[in-house]
Amino acid sequence: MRPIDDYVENKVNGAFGYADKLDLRTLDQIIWVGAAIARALMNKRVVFHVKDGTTLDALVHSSYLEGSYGQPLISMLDLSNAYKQFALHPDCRRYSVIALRSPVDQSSPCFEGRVLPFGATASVVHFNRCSRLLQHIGYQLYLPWSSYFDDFPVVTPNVWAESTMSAMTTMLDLL
Amino acid sequence: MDDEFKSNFDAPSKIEGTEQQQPDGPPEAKSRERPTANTGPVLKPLVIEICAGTAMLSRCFQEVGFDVMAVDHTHNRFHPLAHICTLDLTLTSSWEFLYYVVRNFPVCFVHAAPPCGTCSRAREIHLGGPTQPRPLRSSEYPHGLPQLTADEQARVDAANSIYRQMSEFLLFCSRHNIPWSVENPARSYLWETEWMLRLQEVAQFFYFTACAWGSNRPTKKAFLSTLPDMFRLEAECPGNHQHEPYGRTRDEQGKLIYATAEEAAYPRILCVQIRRIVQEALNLFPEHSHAVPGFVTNNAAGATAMRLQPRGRRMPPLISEFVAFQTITAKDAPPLDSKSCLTKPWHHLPAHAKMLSLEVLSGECGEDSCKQIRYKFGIFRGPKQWIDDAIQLKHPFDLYHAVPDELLRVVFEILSLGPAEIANRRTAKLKQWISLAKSLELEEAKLKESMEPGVAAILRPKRILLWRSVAEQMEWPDHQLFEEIVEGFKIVGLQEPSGVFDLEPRPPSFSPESLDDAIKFLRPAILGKVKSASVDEDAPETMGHHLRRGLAFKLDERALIGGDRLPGGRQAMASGA
Repeated sequence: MRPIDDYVENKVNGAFGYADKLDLRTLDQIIWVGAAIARALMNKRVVFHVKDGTTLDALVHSSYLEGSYGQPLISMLDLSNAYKQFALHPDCRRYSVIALRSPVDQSSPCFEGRVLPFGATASVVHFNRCSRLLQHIGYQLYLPWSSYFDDFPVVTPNVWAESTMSAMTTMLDLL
Repeated sequence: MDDEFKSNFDAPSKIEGTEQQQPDGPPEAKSRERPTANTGPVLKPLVIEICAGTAMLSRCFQEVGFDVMAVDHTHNRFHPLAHICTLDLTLTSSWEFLYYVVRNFPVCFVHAAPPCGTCSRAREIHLGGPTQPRPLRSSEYPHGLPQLTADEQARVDAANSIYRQMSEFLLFCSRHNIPWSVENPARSYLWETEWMLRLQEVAQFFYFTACAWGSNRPTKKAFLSTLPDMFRLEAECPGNHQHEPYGRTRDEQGKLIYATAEEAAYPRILCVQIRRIVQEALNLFPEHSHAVPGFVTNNAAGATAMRLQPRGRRMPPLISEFVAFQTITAKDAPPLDSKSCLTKPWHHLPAHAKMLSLEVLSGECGEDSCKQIRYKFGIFRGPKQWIDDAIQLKHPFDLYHAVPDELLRVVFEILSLGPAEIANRRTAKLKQWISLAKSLELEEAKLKESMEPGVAAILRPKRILLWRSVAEQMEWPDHQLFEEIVEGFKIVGLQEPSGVFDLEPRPPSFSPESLDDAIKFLRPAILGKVKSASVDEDAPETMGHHLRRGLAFKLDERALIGGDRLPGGRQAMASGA
C-alpha cells in the first residue's frame, strides 16, 4: 500500500480544467517496436511507413543477423521520486496541505507540500508533459523507448543492451 | 446517359457537382498547424450547443461524426440525449472555459437557446389561480420591470447575466469566423434586450412556426443567425394536423407543466434540418470519412494496430461506404427499392445509388405534383473499384499504430546503420550536450538564484536551461513548460493545452475563486473527518522523510484557523495501481 493524498474531497481537482488528452499507449508502442524488429530480422529488410507519407526502406545491417545479436530485449528505467522532482507554484501550496491524525495525541498536524502532489489531477498532466519531453529528447540519442509517467520502457537489439542502458542513465543524469 | 455509365455498378470517377470524399477536418477558417510530438490527428469539427436541454441537436450532429459539446446547468429538467457538459452559465468562469474551447478546438458552429422563462409574453396571459406567473419584463423594460420581488429580481438578474455573457461570446465567435444561431420564441422580450440588439447588427432573423418542424403547437419561433442559409428553416404550419392546446397541466406528481416549457425541446426533424443547413453551408461531412493515418487518434490507432478494433466511430472504416455523393433537385420521385437504392439510373445517377435524405424545398405551390424535392444520394463503389481501392490499402499494423514517427526513425536507423555508427552518433550528441551544459552553468546558477527559494530548493539538481536549449533545438511544441517548471506548477485553474497531446476538453467544475469561497466550509469538514479517522502508523515516517528533504513543511495548527489554506486527507492506495 502507498499513501495518496485526497484532492477530490477537498474539491481541488474540481477547480482544475485542461484539454490535454494523455495518450499512454506505452505497451502498444513497445510491443509494436518489438514485433517490428523481429519482422525486420526475419525479412532482413526494414520497411516503415511514416505518418507524413514517406516510406523508410533499407536492408538490416549485417551485424544484427549474426547469432542472437538482433534479438529484441525489453527493459525498464524508473525515474526515482518522480513527482518530487518538480515544484509546486507558491500560490498553490495552500491547496496542498495534508492533515494527518497524530498517533500519539488527539491533534491533527498539517503539512504544506512544496512538490507536485500525488493525487492531484494537475500533477498527472504536468508530469506527463515532462516525461514526454524526456522521451523525445532520448530519440536524439537513438533510444528506442517510450514513457509512462515515471517509467521508461525500452526495447533494443540484444547487441545494444548495455550501450542503450548507459545512454539512458547518462542522459537523465545530465538533465 | 447510358454511355456515361457503361456499368450500372461502377460509379463515375467524377460527377459534376458531386461532393468527393474528404477526410473530416476543421473548417478552413479554423485550420491551423498544430505541431504535436506524435503527429496528433486533425480534430473533428466541434459543435457547441449552449443551454442544450434535451441535447437533441448535439445528438444529431454527433450521429454524423461531429464532436459536440452540449452545455447546460445541473438543474436541466430534460433527460439529455448527448453527454452534457455541466456549466453554470451565470458564472464568468464557465464562459472563460467556452472561450478556451474556441481558442483551442476547431469549433465550427455554435447554437444557443437561452432560457426564455423571464422573457415570455405568455406571462401576460391570465390563466387564473394563485400560481399565476406575472410579467417580469416589457418592451419599455426589457431588462426587468421595476419593483420586482427579490425572488423575481434574482431570476431576471441570472437570465440577464447569461444573455450578456452569451452575447459577448457570440460576437467573439463572429470575430473568429464561427457561425452561430440563437433561438427563442419570436415575441420573446429577449430580442429587445441591449445584448441581443448588439447581435442583430451582425446576424439576421429567420422565423418559422414550430409545428412546421414537428412540434405540437403553432408557436412562432425566431432564429437569429449569422448563417444566411438558415432561411431554409422558414416555414408556416402546413395545416395538415391538429394543435395541442396552450396553458398548463399537472404532471403525475402534481407539478404544474406549462405548454411553453414543453415547446422548448427541439423535435428531431427540426434538428436534422439545422444539421443539414450547417453541413451544407460549411461543406463539412465528417460522416463520409474513411480512415487516414493522421486522422485517427493515437488511442484508436494503437488499439487497431494491435488487432483490437476500437468501439464506435473512433476508427472510421478503411474504405468509406460511398465513393461520392450527389444532390439532385427534382419533382419526380426516384425509383427506389426497399433499401432506398435506385432500381435504375435516374437523373444522371447510376442504379443502386442510395438515397440518404430528402428535403421538401420551401416556397412550393402546395400541390404535391409541383413540389420541388432535394434528394441526397450516396454512390457506391462497383466491385472492381472496391477491389482496386482495397489493394491499395496497407495493413493496419503498418499504418495505424501509436508509435511516433521519431521512434520509427530511431528504430529504422538503429537497424539499418548498425551498432558502430549509432555508437558514434550517441557519443557525439552526449558530448555536444555536456559542452552546452558547461556553457550554460553561469546562467543556470543565476536562474536558480532568481527563483522563489522553495521552488529553487526542489529544482536544484536540474539543468533547466540545458533542457530548454535541447527542447528548442527540437522545436518542442510545449513552449510554456519551462516557464511553469521555473515558477512551479499550478494545480487549480484552467491549463492551456501543451500542444503535445491530442485534445479533449475537461472543464473545471468551478473556478479557483469559488473554491476559495468554499474553504471556510470545507476546512472544518475535512479536519473533522481526519480527527475521526484511524491512525496511519506509517504517517510519521513518511512525513518525516518529506520534512527532512524539504518537500513539505509542518504548519503551526493556528495557521489553519481563518486564512486561506485548504487541507486534504490522505488515503491508502494499492501500490502499482
